[in-house]
Amino acid sequence: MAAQSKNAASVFPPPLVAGNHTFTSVTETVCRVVEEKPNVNWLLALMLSASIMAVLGGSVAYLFWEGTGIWGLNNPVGWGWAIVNFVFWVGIGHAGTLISAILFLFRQKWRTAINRFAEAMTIFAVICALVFPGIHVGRVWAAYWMLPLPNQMGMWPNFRSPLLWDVFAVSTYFTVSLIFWYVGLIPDLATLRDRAKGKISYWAYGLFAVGWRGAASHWNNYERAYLLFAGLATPLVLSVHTIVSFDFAVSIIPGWHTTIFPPYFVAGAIFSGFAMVCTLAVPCRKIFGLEDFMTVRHIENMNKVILLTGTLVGYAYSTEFFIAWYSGSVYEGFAFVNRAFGPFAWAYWIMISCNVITPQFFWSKKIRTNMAWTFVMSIFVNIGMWFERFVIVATLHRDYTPSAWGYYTPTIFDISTFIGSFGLFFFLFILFLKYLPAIAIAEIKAVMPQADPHWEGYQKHEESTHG
Amino acid sequence: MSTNSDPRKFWQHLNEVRSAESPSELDDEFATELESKEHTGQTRRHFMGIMGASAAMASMAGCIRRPVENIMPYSKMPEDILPGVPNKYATVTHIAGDVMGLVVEAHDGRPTKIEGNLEHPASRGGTSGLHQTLVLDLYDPKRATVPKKGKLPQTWEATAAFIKSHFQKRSGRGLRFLSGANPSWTFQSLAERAIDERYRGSKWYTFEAISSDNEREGLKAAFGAPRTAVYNLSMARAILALDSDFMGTEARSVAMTADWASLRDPDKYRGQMSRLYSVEPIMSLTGSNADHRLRLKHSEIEAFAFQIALELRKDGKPIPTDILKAAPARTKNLGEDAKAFAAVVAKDLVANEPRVGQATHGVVVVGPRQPALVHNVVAAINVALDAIAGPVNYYDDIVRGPRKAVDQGDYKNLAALTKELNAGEVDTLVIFGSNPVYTAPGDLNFGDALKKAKTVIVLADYEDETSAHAHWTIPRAHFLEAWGDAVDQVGFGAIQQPVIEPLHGAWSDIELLARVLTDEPNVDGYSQVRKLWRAQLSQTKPLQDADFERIWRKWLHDGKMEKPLVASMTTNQQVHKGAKGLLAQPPVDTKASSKNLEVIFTTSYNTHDGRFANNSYQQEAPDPITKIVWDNAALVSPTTARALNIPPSSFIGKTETTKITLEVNGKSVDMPAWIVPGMADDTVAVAVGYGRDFNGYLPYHDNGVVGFDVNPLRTMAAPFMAAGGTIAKKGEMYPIACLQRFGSQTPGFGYNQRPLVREATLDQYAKDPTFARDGDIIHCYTGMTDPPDECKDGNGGSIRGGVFEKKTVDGKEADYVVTYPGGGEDGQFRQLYDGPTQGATYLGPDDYAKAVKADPSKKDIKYSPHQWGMVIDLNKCTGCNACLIACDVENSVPVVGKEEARYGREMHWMRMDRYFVGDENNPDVVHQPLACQMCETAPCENVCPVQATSHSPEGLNEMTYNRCIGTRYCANNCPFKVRRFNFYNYASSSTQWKGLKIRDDKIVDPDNDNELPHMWKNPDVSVRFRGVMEKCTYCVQRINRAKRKSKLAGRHTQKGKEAIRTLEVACQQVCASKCISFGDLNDKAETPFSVARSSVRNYQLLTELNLRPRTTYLGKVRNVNPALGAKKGG
Repeated sequence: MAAQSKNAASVFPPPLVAGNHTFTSVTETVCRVVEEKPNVNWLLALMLSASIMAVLGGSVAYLFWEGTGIWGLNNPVGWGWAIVNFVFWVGIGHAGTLISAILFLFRQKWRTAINRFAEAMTIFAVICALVFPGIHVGRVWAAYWMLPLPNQMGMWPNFRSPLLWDVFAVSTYFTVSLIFWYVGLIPDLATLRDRAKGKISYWAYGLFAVGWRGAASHWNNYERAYLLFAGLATPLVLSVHTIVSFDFAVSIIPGWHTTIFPPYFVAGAIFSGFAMVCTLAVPCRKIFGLEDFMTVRHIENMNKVILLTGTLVGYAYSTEFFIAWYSGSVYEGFAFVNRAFGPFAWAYWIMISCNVITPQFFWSKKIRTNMAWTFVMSIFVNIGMWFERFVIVATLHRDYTPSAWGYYTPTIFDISTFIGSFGLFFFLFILFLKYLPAIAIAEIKAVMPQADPHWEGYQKHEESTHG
Repeated sequence: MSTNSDPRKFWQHLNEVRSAESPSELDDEFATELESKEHTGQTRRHFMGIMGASAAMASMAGCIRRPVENIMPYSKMPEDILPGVPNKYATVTHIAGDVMGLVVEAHDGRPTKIEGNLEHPASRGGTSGLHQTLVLDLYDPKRATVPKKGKLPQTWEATAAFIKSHFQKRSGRGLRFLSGANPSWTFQSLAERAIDERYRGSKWYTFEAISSDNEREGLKAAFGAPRTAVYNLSMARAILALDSDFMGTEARSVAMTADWASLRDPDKYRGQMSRLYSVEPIMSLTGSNADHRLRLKHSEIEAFAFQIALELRKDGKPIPTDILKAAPARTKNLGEDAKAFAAVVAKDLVANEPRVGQATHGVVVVGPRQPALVHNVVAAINVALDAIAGPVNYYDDIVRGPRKAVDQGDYKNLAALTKELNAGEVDTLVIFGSNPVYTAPGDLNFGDALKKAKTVIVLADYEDETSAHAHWTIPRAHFLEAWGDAVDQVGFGAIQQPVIEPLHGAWSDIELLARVLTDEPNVDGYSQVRKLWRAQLSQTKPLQDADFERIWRKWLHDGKMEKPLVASMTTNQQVHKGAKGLLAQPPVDTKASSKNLEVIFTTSYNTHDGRFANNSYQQEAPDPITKIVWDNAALVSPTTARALNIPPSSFIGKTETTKITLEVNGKSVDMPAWIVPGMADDTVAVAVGYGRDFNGYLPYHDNGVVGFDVNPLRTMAAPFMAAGGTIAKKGEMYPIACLQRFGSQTPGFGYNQRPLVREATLDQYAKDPTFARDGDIIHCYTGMTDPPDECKDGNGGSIRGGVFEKKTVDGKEADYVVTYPGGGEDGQFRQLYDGPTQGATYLGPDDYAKAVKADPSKKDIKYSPHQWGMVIDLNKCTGCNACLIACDVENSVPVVGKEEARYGREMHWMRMDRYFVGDENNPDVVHQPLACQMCETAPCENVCPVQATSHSPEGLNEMTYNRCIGTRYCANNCPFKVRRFNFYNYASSSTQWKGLKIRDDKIVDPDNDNELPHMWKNPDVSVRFRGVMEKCTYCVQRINRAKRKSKLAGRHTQKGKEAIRTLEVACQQVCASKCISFGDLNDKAETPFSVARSSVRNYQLLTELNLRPRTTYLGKVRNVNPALGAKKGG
């Protein structure tokens, strides 16, 4: 065996699956997590996240009861943490679809180990994001008026409003991501169905496996559908954050009204999305013993993307300053100097250090292949990207008329809602880890050495289950 | 049961036939066991019924008068009431004797809005901010509502019986009366009858905490009788205000502001205006509007007045010899700067070239805080300036009360009364609406003295500090509830006409006094007032009933009497007799330092002497200078603050400021400190009228008290200024709400001043009339002469497609004139796309006909009869807040309370911006009212996802509350930040009076009177629920009313056009200086609005954003004295 793998290593590029797995052992490893009885640690984690989610529920209930006044919003700063959190979560939601769709189209095979995982993260992040536009409005019971629903009131939304574009962009993105994720899950759901011992699990997995039998025609349809969805999702990855950025860019507020926002937001979103994948992947691969599938190579690749997008974001920050100066607009110029040296300078410098300085450590191979470093760095990036959105939103505190200037201080409810949204995220994520295969079983087999027709590896490889 | 009319009697039962003989048998047969009568004759059920009814009635008896809620159509229309059409009644009121003629708007008999009476000389259509909120006091649930004996509620009958029995047989021995200033002749004549006839030996005292004692004393020395100066600033081309806030807190401020503003139009008077100098220790509203301002300590004002007198003498003006003789000694400590300033001012005061309009005089105005000697010297100066019967006239003081009683002055009155009380000489004291326990200086201990009277009867607006000591508290009628009259300082009488029945039952001053005079046959105010005026009119000639009725009705209709009742003084009655005894006092030198502060007690802009402390609109209206709401603070200059180690207040996050202990006269008060640029050093100013304790009620704060009571620091000897104050830092911070956190137009980080308020001196204006438009950051407009480099594109053209032409403008050869083809009104910007040309899309009647004629094929020309716009003349705006408060009342803008205001969530639709310019010790101040600018290309409109804010064909940026879901995107995208969001349900009734406790639901109204606060709301505007954005609407309800009127009269008729031209929006109507004009851009006739709009000083805010706001401003022009140079002040 050892000789064999050594041999393999010399012939092929470093394998995307380590540990000399067979197709069976892949299925076993991934499915074991799902089929085992929930252990105490998992239950504890679920309960912890559920209780944090309850904080969100409580905060939102109180918000509905009392009104948006429970947040620290005020007159110049009409948007606060709710919008920051929205953009933050949407940004995180970028990585999944990017990994699934764009890397799929670019035939980046290393994506297979992390795509399921990242897609799930996307969906849960977008769910978290979608909470905020709904609850941040003053009259939540009328929030559905943003949708173009025919109604007897004769009302119709205003299609000139970026907020409306936002509603469409994010909901489209969510729908497509969900379907894309689900389509990818179908073969694995069938595997779980076939292996199911309990009646309920058999029925449930069976229901969602929609009669998948692994026939060649199924695979044919599946591959086509997957490709089509990848093609459909790819522009959405770019559009959703472009449109989110329009919320700011279309306004006339100095510091918001900048044409650089769409690319800069997309880069930032990929940046934060990959950071979040790392944040989740590093502990998960350890806990669930998936190190063979999510290898150091995967993590390193993601760190490279983080390095690239982080540098792009840093470039965007400097471009903003340059344009603010070069345009000669005194309002724009002031807004940016005020960002860096005004009352919110602390937030600005947190953003700069986390987003621009942190990723630069990834030039070092030692650091980008080190799990502990990766984890810490990814946390910093998450913090930095949250602050980026905060810095942008807080720009409102000083605009054209100095007499109206103010400041923004969050209240306990701003904080609890934000923390609670992590509860929701992790609650869903922890459920996902237990009840769905965290790694795309079918897809990963395709990138294993065994899948190569010319592979002459292990002496006996008669088992070719697509199980 | 049976009727005799029917001869045939039907019966059912044998007993029935015999019922006449034995009725009980029939009842018994059908009686159930439960109903069986007991021997007492009472059934259990009957007993329960009686008990239930009693309980129900008892609870009903506890109810107060509520609006009747029957929904009934007016099948028989009551006379003068059209549903939905408010009625207007002329009436009059006074605040501390300061009379104001008013017109009250009532909806279905419910007064909702107060306006000034155009006919009344004190108002001329405007009012102060205080008058605007008087209607809130009417509905204040904390008003005294039931008469009380001690703490026990009494019926009105019992109260009347008590008054009758108490006074019927008594003499005047031990009887004392105390009232505030009361300009009612009915009241005064009843009072005189009481002390002179009915209760001989009784005494009448008057007391107002904000008194004009000093003035009267000083003028008594000068003219031999206690007098009051009445100024007519429309005759003054140079005004020196000595520690005077005539635009703000002082009497006749509305008329004085109007007069001052009438000479502040540089266009009308061909480049000439009056000039205002202000010399003062604090930064007052008046000082902030001065052309030149000199800060001097309170104690130095006297020296300055003497210095002016000396300078005038040098000019050959007659100054009484005793004043001249005393002058050198009294001016020796005056600084050289101040002396130089005085020389310039004196020269300007006597300059005899006619300058503006009809005005030919210089005049000196002096504030009531200054000692008698200063008033005396100023009178001498005014006499020397020949200003008498011109800009100033010294009248007998008639507005204060019974004329015989008031002569010795308020503070001496109160001292005498206290002495008598302490000596046990007072048996019965009747107090008419004053609250001396709160307002009197602390060293008097009036509350303790009051305990020594056997019977204290208080006619009280509130159950307040004084009524707490009363044996009988009788609710006092609001002026809108009672008949009365008022004769103002220049002798204009008016009848106080009630608009509503007393809400809770109440007596007016006149009614209580009439009851006290037990021989009065009619005790109702109406009879009393009519009787007096009938007698007044009959003095000259006999009067028929019908004639009197005719005159009476005319008075009620006009809101004033035809002729002044008091003749103005002739100049020969106003010969100055010198300072006499006043010079015996040595010159004041307090040797002030940061360890020995001069403490000045100022009048609150919002609560006056504390009487409006329970008025939430007043509490939430920002102080015009500090912009603090819901508090008073110890104000100090920046230099003094540094010396005392008081750091500037933190504006990051919720505002906090340093708490200090202010000690003077052996008493101390802990209160917040606040730094005010431009104040005199070593001076601390504190406003009275705060820290009132409403007898255990919690009107606003958790601790039940707003601000800090500084009356304990005051002394009877020097109630307005105390030397020897010290400030010690407490080491803790005090949360304070300030509505404007950033006070400079210069944003910082080396960026230039933002061109929001544009100003020039009069000379600069003459040289560069377009200074206001040149102020645009990108300023290349059509008609611009000599365009600067930034307007040139480098190829001989102008940037953004303009064309240069050589032209002659106003007879002058200009290098270039820029024209922009296809631009808008000014052509600043060209459209990037072909779109509707903003503002020209909807054409008015004339333009529409022309445009259609010129090009009938053009389809996108739309017709709209009106295009609304507003112009605010910054040259006349004083920043007095009246517009802000009028807007609040007109539009039922909710009050949010201090905590919410600290967050920056105040709801005022109009922001009164105040910017300091220049040196922190001698800053210039500019005020700028800023409401929704009604941008034609409104950035708020396109970002709303639900189209809740949209543009009307008439150019209004409209807010559809019902459609708003509260994304707040519009507010974010508003470059002026004038949109207001209901973060909570601020409009709920209880918050008007208890703004603060809205965060938790512990608000329990002690009177269960929740309906009452709704009653002041304007039924013509929607109540905004939480989660809804709101903002200035240009008073769309008034516009619509005017449009209906115009339509009914025929739009094209003269009357129909008049209806539009006479339309006034709330802020415009209340403005004393008439700095706001509003009108229809389509109306080509010459109106004040069109004149202002076409003024060369007209400019838009943030022109570079191409917002095309419909509200524009007229640049401010300061009339700087070249002799003092560009640097103002000393």
